[in-house]
Amino acid sequence: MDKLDKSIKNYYLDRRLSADALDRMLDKGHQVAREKATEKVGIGKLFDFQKSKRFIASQWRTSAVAAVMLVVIVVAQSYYFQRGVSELVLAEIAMNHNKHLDVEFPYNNYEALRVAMNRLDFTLEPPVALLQNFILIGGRYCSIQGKLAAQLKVKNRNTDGISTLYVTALTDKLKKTVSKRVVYDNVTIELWQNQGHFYGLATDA
Amino acid sequence: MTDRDLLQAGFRYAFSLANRHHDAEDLVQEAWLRISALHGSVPNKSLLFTVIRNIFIDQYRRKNLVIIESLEGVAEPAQLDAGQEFNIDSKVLDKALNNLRPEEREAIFLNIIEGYTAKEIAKLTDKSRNTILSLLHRGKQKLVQQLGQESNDGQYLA
Repeated sequence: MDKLDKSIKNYYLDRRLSADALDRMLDKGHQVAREKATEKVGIGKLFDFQKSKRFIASQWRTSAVAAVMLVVIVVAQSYYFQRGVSELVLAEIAMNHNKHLDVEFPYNNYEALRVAMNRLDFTLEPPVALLQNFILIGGRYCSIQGKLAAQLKVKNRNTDGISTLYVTALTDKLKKTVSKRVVYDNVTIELWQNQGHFYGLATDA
Repeated sequence: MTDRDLLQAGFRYAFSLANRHHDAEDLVQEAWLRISALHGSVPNKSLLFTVIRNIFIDQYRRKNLVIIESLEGVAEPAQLDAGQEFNIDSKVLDKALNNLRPEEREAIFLNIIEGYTAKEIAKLTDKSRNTILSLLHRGKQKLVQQLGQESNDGQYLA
């Protein structure tokens, strides 16, 4: 290296930043780096938050739609099922009533009928209101929706009209029936439930 | 290389471009902050030099202070006599360097101080190797001329 190069080298090597300037630049550099990092994290968090907000909103929307659909399906199914069961029971009762079959057990008191109809898996106990308004003529076995039932012939104390009373134990399926009074196939039918029993009273319309 | 060493190296390079302490300090600081903001730290000297150079060019373009001088149009200076004897005072050298174009100082700095080859300088400054060789040669010849002139005045003779 010639003298000129050495002189140039020495000249530039003598050019130095002061310690204060160095510290100031390093501090500022670290500060800028930290701010940038915080900003990135902030943006990242904001992005994640927005993303998660969007995700949660989307999930809520999906869940809400699913829930509404589920409720509609359940209500509709329940409605149609109830209606379906009730319709089936009404049809069955109306058909049995219209057959006008004779009683198998011609007993006019319930105690005797209970003894005679010993295949029943429930206690044959008509409601008090029925006892007050109807006189027992007799009974026979039948089935409602596949369940063994008692078909009782009764006479209205006031009108002398003959009705058939259907009594059976309340099953899950029969629980779906709706208490109501309708005319079905020229038969006035009243359905109700009481103390674990299902009742259907059919009268010629 | 520590951050302090990097800063000092960057400052010297900036000084070779701006040839003024205050401007060089501003250049290196701005470059340092830009890189720190982008990368969190300054990874290497090469990046620091590149950013300093870009800032310098931008600033001087704005100020129209860069004199675009064609190498073809420059008169060939006297042949460099490496063995020429003269004292080189720092102030005189400072004055002589100040009369060089920034790209000449830059090429000389990168070659002498940083030890880069003409090819490496060409890559760093996006110039051809021949242009760098010319800048080095002519820059040094200008320095010799000016230093010799000062020596001939009798003030700096050995």
